[in-house]
Amino acid sequence: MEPVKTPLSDDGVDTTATNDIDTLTSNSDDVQRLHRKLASRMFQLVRKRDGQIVKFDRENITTAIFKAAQSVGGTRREIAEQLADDVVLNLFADRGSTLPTVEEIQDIIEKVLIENGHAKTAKAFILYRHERSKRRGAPKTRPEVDAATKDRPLGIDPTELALFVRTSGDEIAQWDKQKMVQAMVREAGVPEAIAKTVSDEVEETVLHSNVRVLTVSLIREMVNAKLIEHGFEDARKKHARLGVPLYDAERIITRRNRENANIPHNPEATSMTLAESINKQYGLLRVFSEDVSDAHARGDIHLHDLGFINRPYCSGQSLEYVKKFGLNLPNALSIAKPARYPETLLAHMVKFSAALQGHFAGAIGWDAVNIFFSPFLVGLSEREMKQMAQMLVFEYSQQSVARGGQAIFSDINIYWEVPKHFETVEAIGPGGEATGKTYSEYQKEAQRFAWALFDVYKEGDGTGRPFFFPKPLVHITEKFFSTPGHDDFLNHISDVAAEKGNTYFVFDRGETAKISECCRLSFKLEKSDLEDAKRPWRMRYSALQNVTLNLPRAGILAAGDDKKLFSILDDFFDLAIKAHIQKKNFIMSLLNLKDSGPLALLTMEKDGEPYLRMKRATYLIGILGLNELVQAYRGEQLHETDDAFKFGLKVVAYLNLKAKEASRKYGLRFVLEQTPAESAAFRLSRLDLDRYGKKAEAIVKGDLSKHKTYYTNSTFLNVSEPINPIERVRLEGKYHDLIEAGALSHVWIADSRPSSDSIANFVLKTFKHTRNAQIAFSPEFTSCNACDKVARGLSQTCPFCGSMDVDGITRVTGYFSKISGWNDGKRAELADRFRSDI
Amino acid sequence: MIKVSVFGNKECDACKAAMEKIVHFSERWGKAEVTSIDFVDMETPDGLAEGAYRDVYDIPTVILEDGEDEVARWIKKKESTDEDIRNKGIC
Repeated sequence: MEPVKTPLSDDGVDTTATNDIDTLTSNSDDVQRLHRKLASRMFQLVRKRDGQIVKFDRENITTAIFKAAQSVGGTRREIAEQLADDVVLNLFADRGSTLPTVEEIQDIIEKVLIENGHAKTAKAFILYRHERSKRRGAPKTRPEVDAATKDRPLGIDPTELALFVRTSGDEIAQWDKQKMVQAMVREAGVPEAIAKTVSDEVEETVLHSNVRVLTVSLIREMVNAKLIEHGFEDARKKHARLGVPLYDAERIITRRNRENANIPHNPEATSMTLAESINKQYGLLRVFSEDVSDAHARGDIHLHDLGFINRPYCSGQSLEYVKKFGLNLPNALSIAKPARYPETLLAHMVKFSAALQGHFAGAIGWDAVNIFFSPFLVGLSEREMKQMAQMLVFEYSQQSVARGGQAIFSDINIYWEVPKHFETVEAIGPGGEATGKTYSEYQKEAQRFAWALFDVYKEGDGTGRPFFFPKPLVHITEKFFSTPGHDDFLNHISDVAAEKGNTYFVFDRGETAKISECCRLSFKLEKSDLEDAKRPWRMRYSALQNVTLNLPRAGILAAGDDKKLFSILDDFFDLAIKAHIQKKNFIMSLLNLKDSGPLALLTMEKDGEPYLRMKRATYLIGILGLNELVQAYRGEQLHETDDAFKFGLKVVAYLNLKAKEASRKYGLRFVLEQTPAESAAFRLSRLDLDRYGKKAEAIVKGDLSKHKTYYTNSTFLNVSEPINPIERVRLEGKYHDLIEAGALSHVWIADSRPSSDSIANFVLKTFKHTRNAQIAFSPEFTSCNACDKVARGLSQTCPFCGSMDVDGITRVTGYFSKISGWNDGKRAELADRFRSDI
Repeated sequence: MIKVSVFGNKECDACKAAMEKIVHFSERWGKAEVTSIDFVDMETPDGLAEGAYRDVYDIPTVILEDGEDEVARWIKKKESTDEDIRNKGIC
């Protein structure tokens, strides 16, 4: 028989306890007390049964224990106090600092009393609790609690009550703070204990709020705020959520995108813009390091096409690839064998272009299109040839069903002669078979097709407007001038340049050979490329990324100090190199996924090499606002003095040599490019105005009062200066040999209509007497949407019917587009352009 | 005063040969006193900029000037004969 102990002993606890006071005391050493104190401080609040949250008070626990003890004869409150400390400590051990409920505290009291040998007190406490519970009729089990409380008001235990979360999977889920913990641990490597603390704190905040349905994005941001408070900034970044504010989303959906004039306004386009927004954020957070992303945000450099971070920049290739291998693309629903008819080949070319548009951010260029089409064109009548040309131009210019409703930024390189590097190449004909002839033997068909293409360009679209795409780039080589009929052809393409402005004249002097595309980009063919030309399907070139240096900023910051200027340029340049390497690594990680990755198409190996030949990729260092750098640094613009002009050359020469040095160091092809700068010229001018005030005001171009400002594109001379066009082309051309990835000079002819002879003469002079790499003539048009007529020059109303529903059309950077799609900076530049009649 | 500018770089043997040839001929024809000979290193920013300004796109390029006027230019020719040079008007 067990000894009968006096339940109400003097020590305040029942004497049947296996632990006596000494035992209890021995456990209450300094450390223990400290723990208890700390534990007590962890709880600020407690949730009552009715859901109210009230201040946590340890004394209430002491009182409850003591009352139970008194009911069985206990008298010593200090023992009850020590036990209350134990309860708090246990509570903390069980739950961390999570808001406790009264039920949970009572469970712990029972446990502590039993574990400390105060069985009678525990029994009294349990009986008391049971009686209270019966009187309240409150549920005790979790399902009962859920059932009883699901419609309760706010502020109640979210695990018990109706606190819901709208998930990213479009579902409503019940609040579960463990999900926060899991996300922090899984995504950001947050230690579990910290994750629990953070989730407890977030839950507490939620419980204090009046929110009944939360979104995961809100919870995530709350967690992120707590992570910052706890000093977990890196984890916060990893745990970040990407998205756009509702306000921005609404604007994107309802307003036209003006960052790129080649983006229409339709649901596909707005979806693309929304996706671009996420891609941009992803790129800046995950692809690029913080210093690079900050440099972009600050405006030291400009990372182009961040919205397409998951793909390379642009691609130039040969039609021979499609002719030889047909259309056999990864993940395609059907496979097409090599084409047998010209119409089929054209369809393959256009479809492949659309597929490539989904894998590159920018232009899709095709080399020597008329040459490679020629074996398919033998025996075609003039009418049939024209029809083929028309199909090609219309197919590209009407590709508004492609990515984001955006026409493919397409370029077709055209030669009058068969260029030297293709002269003896065996031609591929129908069915992907060699015809047994060389391309030289198809020169006649190639020339007829080239001529027909320009017939189509001259006519324009159904209303006579110029075609925006594909851009025709005619290569003027030394051989061009020794090829029969070149005079007539030059006159023909000059006529198109005068009439519609489409023709780009690309100058390949000496032994130079290149593929041109984009706004002005070109891939100069090196010795190994000319070897590849013997098997032209191998000729695939890509620029992986473009990073532009904010040259005017360097001029502002240098404040006339030579050493400082070049040191700043070094810094910007190094950031650009770093950005390139980071982008390359990211693209490589996607390519390494092969067939199962998003860039599967670029990994297909039809000829033993991946479609994207990384070894032949170039990395573009864009230059923007050289004119303003020189102006800020020397107080003179490029055109104003010889010294200013020469200083500009020195800056570009310096960057050219730096690109070569970086190429040697990293084994990658870094080359300078004239940045198209459709948005960068505007953006960087705005950032500099914000940051440098009057110093920037002194150099930016445009209308300051209306905040429509811009920097002069790349190495151009000030567009508003009345400089003779041939002199402008000559001077600008001096920069072109230093800019290996392509350069261009514009001649803004606006509403004038020069004769074809004048243009041809201008082209000849440019080829023979300058170093200019490429020129284009830009007329301006007013296209009426009411009467469908097109007038020369820009006007607010239609000169034919008086309608105000008109579109202004001219060249924005390197391509034609509607002015309504231009950003404010480009519109300001348009207003400033000095128009000339050559 | 006759000015001869040789555009090249330090690693280019043909450029060195061009430079030596210019010195050789100017001495042989007794023109050393009235001829200034500059080597423009196209691997420096100043040299490359000078080359771009004067439309030099290949090395070696030799430009012969009489006062302000460019009277002759040789592009990427390793050897020039006496006759070549006479024909360009130096003598």
